[in-house]
Amino acid sequence: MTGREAAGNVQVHGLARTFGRRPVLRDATFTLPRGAVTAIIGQNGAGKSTTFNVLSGRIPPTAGRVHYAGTETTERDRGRSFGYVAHASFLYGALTARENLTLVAALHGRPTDGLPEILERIGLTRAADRAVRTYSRGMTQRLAIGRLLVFDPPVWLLDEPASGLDAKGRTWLEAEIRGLVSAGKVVALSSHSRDLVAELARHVVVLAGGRIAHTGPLPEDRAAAAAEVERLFSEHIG
Amino acid sequence: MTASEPGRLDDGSLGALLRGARLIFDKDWTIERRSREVAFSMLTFSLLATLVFALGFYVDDDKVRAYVPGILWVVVLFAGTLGLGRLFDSERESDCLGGLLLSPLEPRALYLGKLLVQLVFVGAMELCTLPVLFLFFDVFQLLDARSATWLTLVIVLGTIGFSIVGTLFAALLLDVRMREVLLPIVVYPLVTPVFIEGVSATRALLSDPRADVLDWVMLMAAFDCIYLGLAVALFPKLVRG
Repeated sequence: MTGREAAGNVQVHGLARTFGRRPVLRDATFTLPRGAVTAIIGQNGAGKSTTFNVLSGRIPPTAGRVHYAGTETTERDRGRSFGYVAHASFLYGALTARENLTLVAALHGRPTDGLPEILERIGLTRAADRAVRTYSRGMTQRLAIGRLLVFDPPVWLLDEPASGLDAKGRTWLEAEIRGLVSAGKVVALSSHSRDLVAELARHVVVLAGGRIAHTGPLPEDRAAAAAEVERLFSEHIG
Repeated sequence: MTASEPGRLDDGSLGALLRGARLIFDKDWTIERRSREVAFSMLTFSLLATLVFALGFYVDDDKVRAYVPGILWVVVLFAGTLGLGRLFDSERESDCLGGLLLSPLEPRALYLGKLLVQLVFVGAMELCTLPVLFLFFDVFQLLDARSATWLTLVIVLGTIGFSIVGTLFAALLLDVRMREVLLPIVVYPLVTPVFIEGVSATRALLSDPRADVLDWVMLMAAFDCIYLGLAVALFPKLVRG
């Protein structure tokens, strides 16, 4: 890893989160490298979404620190500069796609000139003036990703981004994520799809019972990476 | 909704705060213009309540002086509560409140934007309903230009006080079960001082158009300032949980 890459990494130290008395995430320490996809995988209830919620600044951690580009961040910092595609879309159903993106642009102080291009890129130009409430799950997911394209954050947190996407949508998603990697973004994604993880991820974090069960890079060789992903899924997820 | 002038919303300036509040107001206005759900339900309720009170309570002019202050404020409070119950509905859907809190928008701007929305809704409801209520109870004959001006000021201050407290708790109770029941239980006791001043000042003005209600008005304004200061200070911490 070069010095420039390390400077743009997200480093997580001893992250923990408890709900009531129930610890959901315990002492999680890992790195999300710049210019690569890190897959965060685990069974349902392993703590993946909590990890994403804490990383995004949506909820505060009970303990631990998150550094970005060498600087410790607060929830507010991360909320402003990390992009998050969550289970909930953060989209107003009564507004159209164009209005939702216009709102996001205004919230982030970005011009709206590029919105037609983004709508084209996410494949929603023809549906841009329809209320989002009338969208299919896949269209909503595309728009949720389009939200992030508007303010183009340096860190992308994608919790189950392929959820609701058909085969064409998944191909589109893979191309978008490759584009983010080429642009040097930090990308973290969670997915139950072994294929998607094997195809895109170069690093992996495995969560089990709220603890890190494994973390590290995947082999450079595509076939070896796929075999390693298969092994990790079989061993930790089943 | 139109594209706003780009500009940072997180630089801590008053301009950023007002731009953020305006953004929230514009967004809610667009949604309401499309659905008309909140305005319609508030207006229908307030007009029906006025009609019921008019049919049930009108006896003679003397009784009007005793009843109308209470009826007026009950209509404002109950119809306003309907609006409060729906104020953050659009943020509940798809966790849009979470999305806003993750954005550079200052939480105080969100609060002020929502307060403005509530004030516009309640103000519009009052503009439509109170003339009808005054007509039914022959209140216009009890007022002259001076007392009408004071009464307007009293109603405005009461509405502001109720909306300040109500908007804060409408956000806090967003994800609470039975929030529509809890909202009045929490809000009404807190706005009782303003409500009492409002009823007293209204009664005084209807009894004597020359009545001096300055003390009540000052008290209401003071309560509004205290409520607003506390709400703006507390909202960011409370809404983030």
